[in-house]
Amino acid sequence: MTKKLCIIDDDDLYKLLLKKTIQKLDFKTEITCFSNGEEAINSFMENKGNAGKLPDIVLLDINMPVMDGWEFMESYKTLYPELCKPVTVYIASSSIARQDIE
Amino acid sequence: MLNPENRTLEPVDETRPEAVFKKITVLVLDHKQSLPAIKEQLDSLENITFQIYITDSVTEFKQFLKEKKPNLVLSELHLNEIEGKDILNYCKMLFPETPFIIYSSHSCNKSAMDFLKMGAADFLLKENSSALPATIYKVLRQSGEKNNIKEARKQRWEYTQRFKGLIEHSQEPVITYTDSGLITYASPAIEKVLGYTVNEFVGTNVVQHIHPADLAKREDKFSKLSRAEDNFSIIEEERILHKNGQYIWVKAIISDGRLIPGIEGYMTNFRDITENIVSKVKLEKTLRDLTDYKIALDESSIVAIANTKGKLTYVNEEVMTLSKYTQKELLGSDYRLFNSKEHPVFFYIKIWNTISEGKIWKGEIKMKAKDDTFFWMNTTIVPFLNKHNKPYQYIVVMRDITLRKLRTQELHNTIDLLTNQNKRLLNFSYIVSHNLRSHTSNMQNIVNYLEDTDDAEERNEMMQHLKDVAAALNNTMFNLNEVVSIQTNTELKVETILLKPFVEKILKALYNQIDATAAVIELNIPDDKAINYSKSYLESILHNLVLNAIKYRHPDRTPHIQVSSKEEGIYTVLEISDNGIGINLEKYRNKLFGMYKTFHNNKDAKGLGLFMSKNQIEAMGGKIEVDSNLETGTTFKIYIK
Repeated sequence: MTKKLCIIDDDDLYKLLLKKTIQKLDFKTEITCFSNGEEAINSFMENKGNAGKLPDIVLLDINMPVMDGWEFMESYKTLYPELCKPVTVYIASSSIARQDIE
Repeated sequence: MLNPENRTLEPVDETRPEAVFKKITVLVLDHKQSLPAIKEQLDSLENITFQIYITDSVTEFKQFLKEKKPNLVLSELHLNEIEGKDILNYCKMLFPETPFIIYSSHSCNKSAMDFLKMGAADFLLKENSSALPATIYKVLRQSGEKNNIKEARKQRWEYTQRFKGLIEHSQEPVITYTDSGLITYASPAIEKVLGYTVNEFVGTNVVQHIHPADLAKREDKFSKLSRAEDNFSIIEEERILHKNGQYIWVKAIISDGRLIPGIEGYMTNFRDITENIVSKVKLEKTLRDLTDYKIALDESSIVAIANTKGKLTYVNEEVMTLSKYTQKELLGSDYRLFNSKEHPVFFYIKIWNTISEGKIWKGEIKMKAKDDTFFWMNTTIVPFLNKHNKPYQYIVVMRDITLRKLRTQELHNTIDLLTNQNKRLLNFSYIVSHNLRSHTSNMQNIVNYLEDTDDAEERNEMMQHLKDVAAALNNTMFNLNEVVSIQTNTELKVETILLKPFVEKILKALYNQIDATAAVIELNIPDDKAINYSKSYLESILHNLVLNAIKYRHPDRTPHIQVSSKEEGIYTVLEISDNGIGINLEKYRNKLFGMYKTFHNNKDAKGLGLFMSKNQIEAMGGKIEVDSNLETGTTFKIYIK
């Protein structure tokens, strides 16, 4: 079964490279991308009852414009019970700021 | 027997019965039928009113005697079984002063003389009844005389007793002594005051009791007395030796009594005033101490006294030196003269409430001098209370702590500066790590990819990405360099800049952007307004903020940007306000000026502009503030020192 991966990051190059790398590793993976948290949350909200359009795994950046990773997590927490399938979120950030790590 | 007419001619005789007795009460022991005869005789005595009681019962007689207290008793000698002499004895025993006349119908074996010896005033037979008025008159007169003499004696006795009592019971001793000082009399109070009994004291010499140092003064007063220049002399303070060996202080009055019978010498009465003297000495010492305290306080502190209305009633030299006001200007002025406007009104209200309740207030007050300079005072206000515990004035003791305050302020500034720098440094390290790492990890990924692929087209694509990353890295490095240079640039070139032309020049450089968006720019800067600033910084800041205002314009309306200047305290404030989309300050206030923080989905946003501007403004000793409402617009305020 095809896994669905969602990348939320404002770095276009990062998204491109990640996509290419995963495709190269030949995972049967469907990849969707968002440039910030707000776009992702909006999409999740629209598809909360549609398991086929929700990802299995989310790779989340922290430092983004409009809605950053933390704000995304806040919104996601309230949205989570309404989702029709479990979505696992991984935080993938280059930030070393202590407050971010904590 | 006296003729009434003669009597009226007599000189005023105080012993006449009618003068002594207003109304004569007569008690008669006889048969009741004798009354008319007796009454007739008594009535012949004109000018005297008689009240007559008659009885033939001993019991009734005795009762009358006690109740009526007659002035005269007439008694039959033998009445039924009653013996006249028994009655006489009874009367003499109870009322020896009341005259008792035996008025008998028959004589007795005892002679009239015997009755007279027993105390009867007279003896008269009823057959000589016509002599009764004269006898009564004589008896009453004798009785009156006796009374008068007795009264006089009594008065004299009381008089002497009173004065004797006065002297003997007075708490102030009285002594008399001869010319040579030999004490002839001392009143009992001497024992209480000097410890000697009267017997011990009498016979000693006055001189041996007086403190040697006080003798000369006494000699002087005494000689004046003895030369009869004065009748009496007062010695206000004199030390006299107590029997216990200690001197006591007395106030003495010496009187010349050489001509007074019974004294024939000098008389002194004195009073122990040791307590007064001791408390007076104590009071003097306290007063001296207080004066010393005041001098010490005035010398060491800054002292002012204000009345209950807050008006100054006293200021010491220091107050004038510090405040630069003259004494004349200060006295009567309100304490508010020194108001520096540093403290809010309730600060002063709190002080006033505290001290008007009679409590001491302590604290630090910033005050303003006449030349508008400021000084800080560590202040203690002590209310002086009256006997009702209500303040009647306030003493203000101050210490100049201006220097300490300045140092503390400097210290705070330094700490703030260091904290800020530290924060910036930390922020900087995050930025460096984040931005460089994202680039380097991208690079690494590309290189890995390149190694793994043989597809020429893909390799080309990757090479292009690599170039982009390299360029971005370079750009980031350049930006970081900029930031470092702002933070380390200690020798900025500060010039005087005419603000209005300068702003106009920057707007000209932004012509393309302004023209493209049809933005309306309004300038509200006085023509001659000049500031001292770094030209390059001001250019960068203004360029940045005006560009931001255009960039974040509202899609539904023409951008309207206002650039104006105003004065605010020590700052010139340059305001740039727009009618753009606004910023959600609740969310972003803390991040707004952070590096690489972007809040709009704007591709041009790098999150660098405001960070740089803030750094530049702060490097010039100013600050930047922002006010914004979503959908309405944003105003940035640049504070220029």
